Amino acid sequence: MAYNFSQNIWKNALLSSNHGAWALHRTISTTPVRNRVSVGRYKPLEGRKQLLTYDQAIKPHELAHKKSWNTWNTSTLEGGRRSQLTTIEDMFIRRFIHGAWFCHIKGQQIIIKRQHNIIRIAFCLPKKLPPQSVYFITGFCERLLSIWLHCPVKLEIQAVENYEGYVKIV
Amino acid sequence: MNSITCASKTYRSSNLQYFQLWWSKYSSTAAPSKETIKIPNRKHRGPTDILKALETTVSYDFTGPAYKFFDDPFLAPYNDRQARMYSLAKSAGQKAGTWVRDQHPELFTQVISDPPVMSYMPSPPINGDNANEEMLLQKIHDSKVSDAIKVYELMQEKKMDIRQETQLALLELLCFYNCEDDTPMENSAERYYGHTSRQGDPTINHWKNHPLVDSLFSSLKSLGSAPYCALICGLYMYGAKVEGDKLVEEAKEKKIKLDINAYNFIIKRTISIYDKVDVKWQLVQNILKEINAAGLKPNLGTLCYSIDAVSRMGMPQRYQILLQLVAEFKKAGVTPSIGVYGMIARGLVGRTRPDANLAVFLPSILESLKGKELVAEHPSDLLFFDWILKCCAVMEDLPSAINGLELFLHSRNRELLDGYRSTSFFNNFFHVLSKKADFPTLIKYYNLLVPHAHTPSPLFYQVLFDACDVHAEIKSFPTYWNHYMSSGSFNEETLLKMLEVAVNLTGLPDPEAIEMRKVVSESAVNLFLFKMEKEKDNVFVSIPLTHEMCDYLLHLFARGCQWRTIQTCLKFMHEKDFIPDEKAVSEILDSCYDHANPNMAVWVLKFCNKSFSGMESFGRKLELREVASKIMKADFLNDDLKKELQSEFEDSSSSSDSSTSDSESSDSDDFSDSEQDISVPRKPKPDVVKPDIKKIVEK
Repeated sequence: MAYNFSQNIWKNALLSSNHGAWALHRTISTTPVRNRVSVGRYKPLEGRKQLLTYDQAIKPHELAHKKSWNTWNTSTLEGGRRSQLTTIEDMFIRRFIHGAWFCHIKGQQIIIKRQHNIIRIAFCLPKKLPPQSVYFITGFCERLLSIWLHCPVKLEIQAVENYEGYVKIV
Repeated sequence: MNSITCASKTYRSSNLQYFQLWWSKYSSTAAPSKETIKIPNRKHRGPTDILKALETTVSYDFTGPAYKFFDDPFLAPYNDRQARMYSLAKSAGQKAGTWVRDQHPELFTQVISDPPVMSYMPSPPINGDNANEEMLLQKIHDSKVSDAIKVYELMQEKKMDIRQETQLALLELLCFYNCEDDTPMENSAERYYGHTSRQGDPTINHWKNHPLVDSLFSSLKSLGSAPYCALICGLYMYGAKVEGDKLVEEAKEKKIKLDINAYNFIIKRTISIYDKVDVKWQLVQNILKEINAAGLKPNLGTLCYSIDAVSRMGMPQRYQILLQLVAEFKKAGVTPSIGVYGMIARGLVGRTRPDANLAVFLPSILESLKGKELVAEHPSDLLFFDWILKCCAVMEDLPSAINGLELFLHSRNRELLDGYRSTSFFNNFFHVLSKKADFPTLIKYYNLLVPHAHTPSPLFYQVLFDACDVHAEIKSFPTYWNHYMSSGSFNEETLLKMLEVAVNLTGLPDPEAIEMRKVVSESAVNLFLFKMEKEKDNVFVSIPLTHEMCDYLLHLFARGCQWRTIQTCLKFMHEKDFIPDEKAVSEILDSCYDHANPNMAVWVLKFCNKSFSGMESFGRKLELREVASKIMKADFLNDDLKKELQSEFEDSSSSSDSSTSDSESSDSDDFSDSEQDISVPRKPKPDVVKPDIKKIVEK
């Protein structure tokens, strides 16, 4: 890290000079490379510890070794279509599900699977709500998402005990 | 060595094959190959043919809840009532979503489907600018009655020309839906609760006399037959008999030729005529003759309504008439649907006693339909299975009921049973099963259908528990217990029977029964704690724990060594002024002796002596004392416990002359918060002769 930083300072110093050989490279972006990866790595919070779910406890580089992906579709394969639209839709679905179920799926990951024209959304839910409320919100989410996304949407919920989904403390 | 020989063999064989190929290719003497590649003709398949073929490989799954429910123990329904509640909750959520879309169409403007799926999109607002004939036709096509009326009225305001065909289509729509939007009951649970909403009882007038119907009809009178037929059908369908009769008279006066659908409803009208049976039958015959004279070809509706009318008449010779009708319609080219057979069966059952011919008709029909994939052709077909099983229940005909069930389960035939009728269908089946089936058949069909396809009634469970008792079915009994507890419909007699059978079965000298004691006692604890929680919460308990139930529970707790629950139960009985049965107390003491728990034995004796002495006869008290003295003589108790017991009974004998109220108040102080150590001591069981408590207690 330190080496990269010093090397880049040296490079930038050369670039800023009016030396002819380096002038050709001025158009190429040479911002310093940051090897620091922070996404998907959890640390203790200030003043308290953090409970991690199974998804959170597994680091990104362990993906496909210890666990699977949260999004399943064929848009990123060769010849796959509507990759941007799928990504944006997935973001929308996640936000909508978090909003509709608010505190009930806090800290839980949402898995979105697309098969043919069906979107299957899976997540765990603590056993706080009575089953009839769960079914009501399910019907509401399925119908609204179907109307927005123009395809059948199915929710696949697994009820878990409180804090059952948490596997690690950092 | 073996591997080498194998390898050499394969090498040789492959070489040989290669040589043969080479020879056939290059040798002029080798015979030419006769095999020619024949490309088969392309089979034209529809887009869903493969899906349908796949679907045939999947049968109705009874082992879990329906697909619409979550496959999760917490979220899955365990009885019919729960299933209906969850299903209704889900459809209510869906309706809420649709309501949001209809209220805020501006939020749902994006069209990402290609071609666009119109059902996902909000309907465009209707106003004077966009109201036109095309829109009106679209609304009629979509069966949106209120929207169609609105568009028509806007067009009238704008004085736009509307074609007579469109007006006639609107009149037909209004007559068919009685001038109101149809309530789409996609969910079977909705149909269960609201099945009488649209057409309702045909004897009551539901017709909504919308002014638009009259105006449309008067403007379309010039068209002749079509508006008359549409209005006659609508009036008779919704029970407006007087108005319908007037219109039929008017049509006859004007010599307007009615179509076959109008005649069908005229036949249906005869059902609600209050007259003699012969007159009604004559009327039906006259209408059929009239149809023949008019040169109209009868359809399935004509047959169904004729059979319906005749089967309700209750004539002694109805079987022959019904069969004759079916034969004549067959000659006219009308094949009877299953609904016709169902109505014939219903007619033969009658209201008072079933016709003797039913015993022949029912098995023969089910035999002829065996293994067939049935198709609904008329609304009455949806009632076929229900009526057939009702007949089986009346006749108590088990083979026919089983045939009916097998026909129901075959292929996609289960779709012919409407949602709200399925409960009645299965109830009738279980009724026959409980009356006539032997134990293996009973268990076979029970295990197939319960708990996910149907929840039996408490009366059936009573029969089942009785059968378990008689056939000493120990292994499956805890499962049936759990099914009954999760069925949600309790009955005091059934609950009592279940506990009685549990006591009987766990008391059997069978290793299986002894193994089951723990499981059954845990179920009993759950039941007891459930009832106690209800009492604590001051919730109205429909079936509270009775004296007998508590006695049975004590037996079960004693056999499963549920010491804490025994304490709670005895305290509960003390609160409710229930005196525990002598056998139950002796069972507890026996269990204490068997499991080497002297503390519990002493606690029980002390508690019984103190708590139940005030309301008990003097004889009972003496018995307890005798039991205590008997126990004290044995080496079962240590010195401390013996002293404790001795002092207790000496105190009680000295205070027996004093008032009972004093003793009761002192009891409550002693036992209210007593958390004594009643766990089994670790010392080995003493080798002593077991005192015969039962003999002493039972005199």
